[in-house]
Amino acid sequence: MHSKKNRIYQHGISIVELLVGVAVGLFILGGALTLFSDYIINNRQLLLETRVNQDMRAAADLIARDLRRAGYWQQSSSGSYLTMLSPYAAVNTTSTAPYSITYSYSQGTENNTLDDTERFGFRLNSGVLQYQQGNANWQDITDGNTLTINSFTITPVQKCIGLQQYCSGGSSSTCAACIAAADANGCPTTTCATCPFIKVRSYNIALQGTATANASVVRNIQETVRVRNEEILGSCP
Amino acid sequence: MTILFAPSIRWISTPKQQRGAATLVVSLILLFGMTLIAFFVNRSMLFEQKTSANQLRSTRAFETAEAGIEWATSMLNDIRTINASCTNTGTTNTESFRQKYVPYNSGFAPVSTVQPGCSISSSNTASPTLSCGCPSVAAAAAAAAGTTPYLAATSNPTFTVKFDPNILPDGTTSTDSVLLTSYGCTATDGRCVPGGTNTADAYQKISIILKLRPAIASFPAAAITTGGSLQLTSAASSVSNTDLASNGVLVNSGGGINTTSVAGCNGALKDFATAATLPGTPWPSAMLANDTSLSALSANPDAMFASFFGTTLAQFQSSTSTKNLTSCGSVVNDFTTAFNQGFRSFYTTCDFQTNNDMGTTQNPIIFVTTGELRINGGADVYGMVYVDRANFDAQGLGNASINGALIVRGDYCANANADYNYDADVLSKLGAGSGSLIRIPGSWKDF
Repeated sequence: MHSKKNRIYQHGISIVELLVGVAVGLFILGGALTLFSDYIINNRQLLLETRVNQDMRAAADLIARDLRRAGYWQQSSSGSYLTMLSPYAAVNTTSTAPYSITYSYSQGTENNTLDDTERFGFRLNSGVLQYQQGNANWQDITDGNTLTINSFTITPVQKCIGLQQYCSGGSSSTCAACIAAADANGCPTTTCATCPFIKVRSYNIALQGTATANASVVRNIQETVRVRNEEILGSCP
Repeated sequence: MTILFAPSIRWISTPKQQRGAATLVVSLILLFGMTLIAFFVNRSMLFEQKTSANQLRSTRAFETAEAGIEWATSMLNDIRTINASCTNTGTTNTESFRQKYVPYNSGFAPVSTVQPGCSISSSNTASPTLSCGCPSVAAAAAAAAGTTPYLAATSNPTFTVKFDPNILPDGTTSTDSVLLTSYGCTATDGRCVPGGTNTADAYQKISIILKLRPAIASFPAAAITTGGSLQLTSAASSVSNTDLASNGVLVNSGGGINTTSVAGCNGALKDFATAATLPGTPWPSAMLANDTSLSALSANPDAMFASFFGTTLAQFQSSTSTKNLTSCGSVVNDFTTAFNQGFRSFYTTCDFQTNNDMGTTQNPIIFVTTGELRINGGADVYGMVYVDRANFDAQGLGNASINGALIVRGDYCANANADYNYDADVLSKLGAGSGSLIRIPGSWKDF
C-alpha cells in the first residue's frame, strides 16, 4: 500500500515544466554569460592598459634615474684644479628619427678617459626601447611582445651662462665673438676654446606606446630630466 | 528503503517547491566565479597601488635629499650666525653655519660627527615650513647614537647633511673644497639619523663637492694700491709692509707717488713719516709708481674691481654674503648691526664716518664704498678697503690705521695722519672666510 501510494506521488515533472525551467535557466545563463564575457573583456582591457602603463612608467623611470647621472666624474675636482675638461660631460641627442640619447658617467677606477663601459644611452629600435650598457651594447628594456613603443622623442632645453668674468684678468671683451655667435639659449655655436661657458641642461622625454595585442590601447608619458652635472665648455684663456 | 527516502521524496515531489532549482545552482556558480574574478582584479589593483606608493616614496626621498643639498649649500653661503635651530637671532649667536661645521684653519676642517638637518612639514603643501636642527659638536656627542637631539621624530620628510674632507686625485686632502652628502628619508628615521638603525620607508643619498671661490681672487700686493696718482699731504702718516710674499711693496700706483698733484688736493707734498719694508731694502724702491697695468685697469671700474675680487661690482653687491648699507642716515649703526649678525662684506654708496674700529684681526672685513670714508679718533680698520672713486680724499682719516690693504680705483689724496699696514694674515683670513662655496660640475652622484 505504502509503495503504491508513493508511486503515485513520484510522477516526475512534466515536459512543460522541464521546458519552462530550462528556458528560464538558459535565459538567465545567457544574460549572465553576456555579462561575464563583457566583464572578462573589460578586465582584459584593463590589464592590458595597466601593463602598458606599468611598462612605460618603468621605462620612463629608468631613463630619468639614469640620465640625471650623466656627467658624473669621480675626479671632478681635477676640473677645477687642473683646468681639465670632463671626459664625461657631453650628452648627445639625435633630433631626427630614430631618436636616441647617449651620455656617460664615471665607473670603476678613474682613468680620466671615456671607456667603452662608461657609455650609456637610450634609443628606440623597431618598437622596442633599448638601453646602452657599454659601447654599442644595446639591451631591450621593453618587451616587444606586449608593448610597442611608437615614438620616443627627446627635446633638449639648454641654457648657457658665460663665465668669462670669473677668469683672472678676463673680461667680456675677450669673448665678444663667441657671445655674438651664440644661439637663442646663449650657447656658443662656434668653437670657443678660450671662452668658458656653463651649460645647464634638461631634457623633455616623451614616450608613446601601444599594446602589441590591441592597437587601441595607447598611452603617453612625458618626463623632464634635469641633468644634475652641468657641462663646462671651453676654458679660461 | 522507501521509509528512509520517504521525507526527501516527499520534499522534491512537491511540484511547487521544484521550481528554480537549476537557476539557483547556476546563479551560485556564477556568483562564485565573479567573486573569484573580483578578488583577482583587486589583487592587481592592490599591486598597482603598492607600486604607486613605492614610486611616491622613492621620489619623495630623492627630492628631500636634493633639498638637503640645496639647503646646506645656501646655509654654508649664509654668513650670518645661527642658533641651534639654524636661524639667525642677532647678536647672541657666535658661529655661522660654515664656522660650525666647515671651519677654516689654513684649510677646511669639516666636522663629520654632526649631521645638521631639517624636517619638512607637509601640513601645508603650498608653503611647507622647515624645522631645522644645527647642534653644536658637544650637543651631538652627548646625544646617544640613533637619537635626534636636534630634530623631533616626525613622519615628515627629513634630510640631514654630512660634511667630509675632499680627497683629491693625488691622494691629498683638499684645503679649499669639501664633500657634502645629503641623506633624504620619508620620515625622521633610519639613516637620516646619525647612528640610526631603523629603516624609513624610503631613503636616498646624494653627494656633491663644494669648492671655495674666494671673495678675493688675487690679493693686492701693497699696503696702498691706487689706480691713479697718490698725493700725500700729511706729515704724520706711516706705511708698512714686511710680508715676504708680497716683496714688501708699500705703495703700488698707476700714476705718480708724490710727484703729481691730484686735483682738489691742497697742501704741500710730504713724505711718509715712517716706512717699514723688508729688512735690507731701501724703502723708496718699495714704492712702485706709474704702473701701466694699474692705470689701464683704472679706466674700467669693473675690470679694476674684477682684478682683485674676481667678480664685477654688481655681482659683489648682489651676493648674499654682502651687506648693502643703503640707508645713509644710519649707515654706521647698520654696519655694527650687520657685523654682529655675522656679515663680513659690506657695500655702500653713503659717506661713512666713524670713531669705532671696523672688523677685528680674527674677523676682518671687506669694505667697498663709492662714498667718502672718514675714520676718526684713532680707530682701526682690519680688512680690505676698496674705494670705487675716481678721486678719493681721505680727509677724515686722522690717526686711524688700515690693517690689511687699501685700494683706490682713481687718484688718492692722503691728507690725514694715518697708518697703512699691509697685513697678510688678515687678508688670507678674509679670502677664506668670505668666499662662496660653489658646486663643482660633475661631482653630483646618487650612487
